[in-house]
Amino acid sequence: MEREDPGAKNYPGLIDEAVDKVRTGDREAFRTIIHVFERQIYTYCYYILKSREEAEDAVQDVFVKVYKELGRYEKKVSFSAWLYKVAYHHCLDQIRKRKRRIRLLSLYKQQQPRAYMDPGLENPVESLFMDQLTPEESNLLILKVVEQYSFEEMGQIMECKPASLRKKYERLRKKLVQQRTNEGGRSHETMAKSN
Amino acid sequence: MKQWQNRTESQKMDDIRQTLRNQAMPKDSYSSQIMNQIGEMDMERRKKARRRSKIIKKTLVAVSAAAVLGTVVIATGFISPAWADTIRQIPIVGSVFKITEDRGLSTAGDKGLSTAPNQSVTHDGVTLKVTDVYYDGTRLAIAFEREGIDNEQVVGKIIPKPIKFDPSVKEVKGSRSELDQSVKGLLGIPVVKLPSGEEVQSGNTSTGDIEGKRNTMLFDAKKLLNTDALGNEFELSVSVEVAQIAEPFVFKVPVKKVTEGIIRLDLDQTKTKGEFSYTVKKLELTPAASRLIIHSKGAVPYSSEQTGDYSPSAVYYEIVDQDGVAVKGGNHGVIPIAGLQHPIVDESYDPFAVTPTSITVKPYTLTFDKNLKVLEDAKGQMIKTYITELEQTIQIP
Repeated sequence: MEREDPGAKNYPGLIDEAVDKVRTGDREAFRTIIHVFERQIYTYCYYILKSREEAEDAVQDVFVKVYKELGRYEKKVSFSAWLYKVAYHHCLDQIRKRKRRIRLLSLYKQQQPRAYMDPGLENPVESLFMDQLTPEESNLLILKVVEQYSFEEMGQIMECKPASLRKKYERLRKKLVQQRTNEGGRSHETMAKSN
Repeated sequence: MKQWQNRTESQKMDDIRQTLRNQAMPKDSYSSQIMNQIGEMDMERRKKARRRSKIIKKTLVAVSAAAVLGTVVIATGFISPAWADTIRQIPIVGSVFKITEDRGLSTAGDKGLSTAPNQSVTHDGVTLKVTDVYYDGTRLAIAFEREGIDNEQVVGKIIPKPIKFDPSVKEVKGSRSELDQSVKGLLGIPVVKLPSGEEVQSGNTSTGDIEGKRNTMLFDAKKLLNTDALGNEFELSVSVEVAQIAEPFVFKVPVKKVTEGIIRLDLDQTKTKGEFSYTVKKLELTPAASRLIIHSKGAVPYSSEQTGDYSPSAVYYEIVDQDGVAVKGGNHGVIPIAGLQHPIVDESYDPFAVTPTSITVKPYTLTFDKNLKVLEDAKGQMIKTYITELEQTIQIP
């Protein structure tokens, strides 16, 4: 399965060129980078943080951080992977802060993610993310299935071993596949496995 | 929900992929907010930077200028004829620039279009002079002459400083790039500061030699931002680094704003087609540049030729005078994203040779093929699809 780096797919040199321009002082060139990636990063943050407002703040914070640290981007990973790395760590920070806030409010029990969800979600994919997946699982799913990074690349984004990501991902796949309906209907996958 | 749970794993993965790839953002783009935050952050950092560490900003030709003016090659000493033509249009009186008498600006020149000529600084056998300055609120051009160095090349190369990734370092301080010191007497990009101490902000700046004139350098900020507060007269601090000379060449350059021949219109003219609408907010015509600020929203209109494997680009705006003659500009770098929306457009163009009585804004799109390459005609010109229903005319009082 060929991995697509969105920036590379459209125009291989575009992002590298923009990065070089920004590094030599052309601040406006950063706008190109924002335009190419903002929707993906917003989507990623939305499904991890499970909140529209937090995702809007996060996407802006992530790009500002990326701009600040552009000097550190060494082109060893693809630019989008490096972008996700910043986004991933930012979202983790936000979640940690959120948990700290919640712990401090002794009136509340550990809030369900559903509290942040937009009301009236019809889309089963959205419900899956909002109700059934932890942030770690959402992250894995997005990077592997939507962005289609290899485990090696994901290891660089999340700063952990590809092997452990492979295991986590396998568990996640099982979880997705084993969801059953209330009526007890079984998916084809589990049928196949039991045979 | 129940039906979805019954789907196969690969169907679920497809659904997930589809849903997320189609996820819409609440806003068209966050680029303005992000760029604003970055701007503020840069200002803070500049204030904190120590005197010696210069952060060189806006030094190279942006994608915009390259598309309009041809490529400005910095450091090899020559610039393309297209840019030279534009420079000759700058109505500056002085030893370096040609006067266009038709514009009746020679009198303006006497009144001080060009200010502070012949300020000069000498270090280590090399003399730099500021020979001309042009400022009209949108464009700032400063011309320099160098003496004491016999070299075709005037502007030196800028090398980005290699930065090592060090996890313990939280922030990289100081300048990100430096002047190549291998040849003595080559000039660095001028650092131009306003009275407040901030560097001049421009959406499109270039520095290069001037064709046909040896030992000259032109600093040209073509799309100045936030200049209203500066007023008509102020002083700039200009600092130029010269290779193999320790001391920077520092000038205090008095600037007088060109006020004749400048038209600024604040407008609110809107045109709509289907989902797409745009509003012309501001039009600026100066002797050296034309500038258009537009707010737009909605999906980019497309023709029947822009469907299937083909797609439209973002909307670009051409401007023509009352006789239908266009000025160059308005298409600064094509981003290969179909139907890219630009909520705020701030475009610069060549100046009109004579102030027009009216200007028509002609929105158009380019066409991408399935590989997101722009379609060109037999002559290699990008094919423009004009959206005639969106044209609007602005009267110039």
